Amino acid sequence: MENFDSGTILQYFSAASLGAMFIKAFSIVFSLVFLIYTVVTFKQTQEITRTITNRRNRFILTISGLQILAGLVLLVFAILFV
Amino acid sequence: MHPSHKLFHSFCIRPDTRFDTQQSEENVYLVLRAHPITLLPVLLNSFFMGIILVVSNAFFPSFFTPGQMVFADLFFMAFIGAYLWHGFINWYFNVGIISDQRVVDVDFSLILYKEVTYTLLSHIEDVTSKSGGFFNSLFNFGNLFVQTAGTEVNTEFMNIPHPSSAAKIIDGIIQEQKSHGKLR
Repeated sequence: MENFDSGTILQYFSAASLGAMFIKAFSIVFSLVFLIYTVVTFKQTQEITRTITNRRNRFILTISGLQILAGLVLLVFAILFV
Repeated sequence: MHPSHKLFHSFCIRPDTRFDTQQSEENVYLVLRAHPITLLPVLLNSFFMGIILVVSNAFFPSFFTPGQMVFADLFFMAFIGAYLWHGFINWYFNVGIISDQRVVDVDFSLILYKEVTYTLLSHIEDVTSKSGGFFNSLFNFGNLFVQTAGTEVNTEFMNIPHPSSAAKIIDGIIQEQKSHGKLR
């Protein structure tokens, strides 16, 4: 408590840092929502490819899988760089 | 009927497609999807979203840090990609399958629901194709209604290419099956 400095605390909660924190929080939340969406899309695509099967299903599943990867990249980027 | 694929696999005769409850002796004759032109709104929306992305990059950099701008661009691009993919998947898996035993209608709305309707050819009362309107006439697509007897669910294939040809093929399959004594 001896290093307590009200100025430093006020600096933490300045408009700019609050704005940056807000943007970071939103980035992480949106990335998470996108990631969940891509996982659901992949599961649904997996389900429907069991109903209808043809040669192109593997390609479609690959693209759906790549979307999950994009969601993960976004989440990591939001946590580390935003 | 010789195997053929027209209009980006939206009208396939004798394709390599199978469905989960297909019997070993059952053959798929026809696979129908909506005409690819029905994907035009999705493509146009994606194009305009792309323009918004480019324009916003010219205006917003002064407000955000480089990291935030890169994230916003990546997120928007991922969103446009997901929107395009969603449109494509909805188109690709909303499919009508006509075999020598039944008509299968797969209605697949991503995330929301999946509905698969099976109708035996012997239960079909009437097959009607309807086409009208500027775009429908221009690109030759329309709706196909397969009506069944009694309280059974009627099957509808919306915006398919060459609906009258599809109706003719279904009628031909029914007549052929009847002549072989497989249908009553």
